[in-house]
Amino acid sequence: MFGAILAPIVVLLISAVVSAIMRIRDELAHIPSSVLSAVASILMILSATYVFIHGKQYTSILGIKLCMDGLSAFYALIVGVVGLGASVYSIGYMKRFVGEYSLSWFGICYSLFLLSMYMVPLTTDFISFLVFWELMTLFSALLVAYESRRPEAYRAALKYFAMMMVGAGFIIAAFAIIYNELHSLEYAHITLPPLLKHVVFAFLAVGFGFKAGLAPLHSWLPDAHPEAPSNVSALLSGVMIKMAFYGLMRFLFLLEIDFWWGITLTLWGAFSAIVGTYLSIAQDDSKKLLAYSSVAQVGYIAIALGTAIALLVSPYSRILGSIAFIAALVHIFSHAVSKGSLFLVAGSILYRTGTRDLNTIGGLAKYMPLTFAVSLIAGLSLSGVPPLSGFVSKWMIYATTLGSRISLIALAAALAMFASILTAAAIAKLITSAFLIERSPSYGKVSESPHSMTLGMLALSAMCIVIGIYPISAILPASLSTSVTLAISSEIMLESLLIHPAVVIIKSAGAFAQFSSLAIVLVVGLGALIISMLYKSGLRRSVDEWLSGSIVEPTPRYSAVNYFSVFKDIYGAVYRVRRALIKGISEPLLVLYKKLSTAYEFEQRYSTLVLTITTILLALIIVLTIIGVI
Amino acid sequence: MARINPPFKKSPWIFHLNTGGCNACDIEILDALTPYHDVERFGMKLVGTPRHADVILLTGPITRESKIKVIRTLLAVPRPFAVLAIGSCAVGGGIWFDSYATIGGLPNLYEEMRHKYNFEPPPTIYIPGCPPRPEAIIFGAAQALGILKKKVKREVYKED
Amino acid sequence: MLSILYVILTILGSIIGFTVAPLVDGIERKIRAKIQNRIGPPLIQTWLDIAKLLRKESLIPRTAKALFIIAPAIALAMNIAALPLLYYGAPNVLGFYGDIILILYLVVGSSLILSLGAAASGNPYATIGFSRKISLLIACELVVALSIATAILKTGSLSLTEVILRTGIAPSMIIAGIALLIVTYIESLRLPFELTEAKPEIMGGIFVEYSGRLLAFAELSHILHRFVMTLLSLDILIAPLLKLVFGVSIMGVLMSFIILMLISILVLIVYGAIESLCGRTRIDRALIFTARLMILPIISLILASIGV
Repeated sequence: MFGAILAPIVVLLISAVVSAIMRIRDELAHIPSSVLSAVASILMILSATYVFIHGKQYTSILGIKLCMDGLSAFYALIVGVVGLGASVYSIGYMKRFVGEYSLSWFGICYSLFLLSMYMVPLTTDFISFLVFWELMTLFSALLVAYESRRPEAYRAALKYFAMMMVGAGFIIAAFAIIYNELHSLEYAHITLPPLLKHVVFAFLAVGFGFKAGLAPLHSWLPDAHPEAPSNVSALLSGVMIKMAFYGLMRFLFLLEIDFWWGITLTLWGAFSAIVGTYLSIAQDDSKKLLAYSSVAQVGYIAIALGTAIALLVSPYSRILGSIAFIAALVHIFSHAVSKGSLFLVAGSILYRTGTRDLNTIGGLAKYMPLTFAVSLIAGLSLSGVPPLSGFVSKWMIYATTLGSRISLIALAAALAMFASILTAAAIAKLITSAFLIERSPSYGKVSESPHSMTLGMLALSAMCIVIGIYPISAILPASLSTSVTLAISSEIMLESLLIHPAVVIIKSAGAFAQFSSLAIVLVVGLGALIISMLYKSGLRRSVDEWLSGSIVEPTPRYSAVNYFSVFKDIYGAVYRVRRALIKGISEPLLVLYKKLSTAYEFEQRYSTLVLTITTILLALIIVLTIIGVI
Repeated sequence: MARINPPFKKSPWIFHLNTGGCNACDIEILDALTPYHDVERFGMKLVGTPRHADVILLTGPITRESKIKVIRTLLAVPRPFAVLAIGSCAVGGGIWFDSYATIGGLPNLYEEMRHKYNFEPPPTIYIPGCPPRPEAIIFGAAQALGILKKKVKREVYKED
Repeated sequence: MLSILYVILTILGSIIGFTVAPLVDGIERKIRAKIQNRIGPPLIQTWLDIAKLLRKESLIPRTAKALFIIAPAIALAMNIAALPLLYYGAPNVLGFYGDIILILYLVVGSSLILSLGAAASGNPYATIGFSRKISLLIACELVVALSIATAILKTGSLSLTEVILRTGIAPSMIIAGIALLIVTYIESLRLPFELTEAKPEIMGGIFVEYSGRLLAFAELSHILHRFVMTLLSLDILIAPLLKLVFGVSIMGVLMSFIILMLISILVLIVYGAIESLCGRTRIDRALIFTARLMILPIISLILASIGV
């Protein structure tokens, strides 16, 4: 049934048109676009479900052949889930910009951004993949530059755009090599000469690495994510950077995979995880902290994918390899929902207090209890605490990497475990300094975020709990898409894969024969409850806090900048490397791009025009290059 | 006065509170804490915050500067607890009993706290001396814990 | 028959662990007293302390959040939950594929939740303690993760029991075990590294606002954490050897149970003796020390990957 696939596309196009018309009542323009995007997101979830039940669906639009198979459906599911949360959230959040920036412009970009993210996995040929890939980059860049009168936002968008162009160059080069052998633009399995094969892998890995934000190529990410409006940050970090892994999963398995590709990806991922978390604990900006944490979580996905590739090469470890592949997908899902809700939390704090600086906020838990609850759930999930979604995915990653018996992968796993603690520390910093620690507020009293925003956040964080308690809700779609991608029949998948000990622990939630994630929590929770009963019977009294007997003004208290500051002194090398990387990689690109388009000084409409024209030109160049190769 | 069987009889954790004394008593307290006198055999442990404390060792005549801090500290201790007023100053102000700069000892502070903070004074052992010997401090602590009985009774002089 | 014995030993071990861990703390204090040539407190002093704290009132600062109250209970429950997952000389019947990771989760999680609860008290001293504790935890965790990865790489199993049963005497495991033992000392916040409480400096650090029952839970969970970590490192270091010597017959299992318990108590006592000889270091020195310690698990990982 092709309607299932087309429906979200139609709704999102209508949304963009309505937003354009709403220019006449700009202060209300965000409502139709948000509502329609939410509807489209629900339709995406439905169409993904349809595909999971009935198998591959084909359709075509404007002569472009589209196909939704298991992997595309999984991505449609993620876009739908995070898109739903972010769209509902937008209804309240965009009020921030009324009168300042055009809401209708936001509506157009937002709808088309969602649309392009939905379309990328649906494509069946290299050209249309590139077109939608570039459209996704373009609309996300426009959204990053949404607050265009702020030079930082503009700079971030340009930096992002410049780096994406380079990334796209690598991808195009890889496609050109593939096309040269394949002589067809449709995706198909291909055998390349060994050297060429490795070159294609390198190009794809670097090209998609730019988009994913894997460690040395990440420098756009901590600028672009904080500068974008928070609902967009949730989509950028939750969904868009993982599109890179869609690319890798789709195209690497078209070639004959190689053991060392897996090792490379795994070690690269481990490096990214360590660097990302190290930088993340040093940030004082709430959204920057989350952005660096995304760099680390992408590293986890790379570890899982790399392990999958390394294990799938040998027929003996095929089952564990497939589980690693499932683990990568489940981690994509769990990170999408948890990081998505954390960015929405950061947005709520921004909405109410007007700042992202963790040094100046504090003690918000009693003003914004629901936001605090969401941040706690999502944060714990991100750190991998049972019974939340992060535990499921991280557990599968540890089980497969440590169980692989390949020493380099085991090393990566140990580093990943370490990065997990660092993630927990970063999240603890965010939660304690924003919500727990008392600080004399410079922003006065604040109240809970508006209902629509709270609803959006709660919906996403509820997904963390659902996946955590019923892991099968994420593992089943992931294993279905794995079975499609790796050409394993789904019966074998369900019968032999899901009873593997690495999966069974989380699959059988609720079954006490196995020590499931739920059982762990029940045991600990029950114990804590019994102990708390013991506490309840004791005497309690509420008193003032004890500050050496003196009346200390809350201002000189321990602020976010002091957290783990000792790390900056001791492991300073990592932080110096970062500065060198920024100087080495992104700055020259930025300068180059600024020279290409002098858009930097322009006002919004001119500069967006220039950006658009540049992109279209670039897209044309891409097409012409490929035709030229033909 | 001192309860015979407080819950902290076997493990009194002590908090050292100087309220503006000349440090002589503090040196004697530290002496009492040295391995020579070995108060750990009673389970005593010096703690860093009044939240953990069972016994407050209070020295000094309570200067006006330190008064509010002493009050806050006494309010920060979980009940039940005991106070050891160590040295002549803590007992009754010592040679500063009528100085404008001090409030003249712990009893005066209790009087003020009872009115202002509705604070019921805890069992208190007064250990006079300038400074008291470590043995005297340990002896007082043993009384506060109910290990030893008092050797003197409270006597009030009445004019017949 | 044998499996019933295994179950009994695991339960017995957990109960002994729970009751003995505070007793061992008492023995440590006794040893410290003997080193300083004094009598020292009775052996059950730590239990007496906890009993006293249970009878005192708990003060809740007005700035504290709900997390402040529930954190010690959760931390204690996590540490108690970790006890029956350890290896007590007999194959653990409760063990499953992946229990090593779960044990790590539980011990690290308990530290984390305890320090989060402290930060929720709103007291700045507690926040300093929190920051130090997390910094130390991060530094230690790399060593722990690398050592555990060695053990898993050596045997290819994620189950603690299987790891122990499958390894004989392997240099890589011994080095990993030693690294774990040293890092256990640091992570259990003993004196040169007792930075998070640091009574004269930050007045009890993370425990500054805890009193009464809450403090009792926090202290108990801290002491249990020490025991769990020590037994885990001994499981990696000694247990394979014990299994090799005594086998898994009834007598052998009983012997290795007794010896493992005795050695873990001995190790804790040695720790106590070392502690009595040290003064407190600075947080940055502690982190540098831990960073240098990383050489051990890296060597063990290399050894394990070449199959030694």
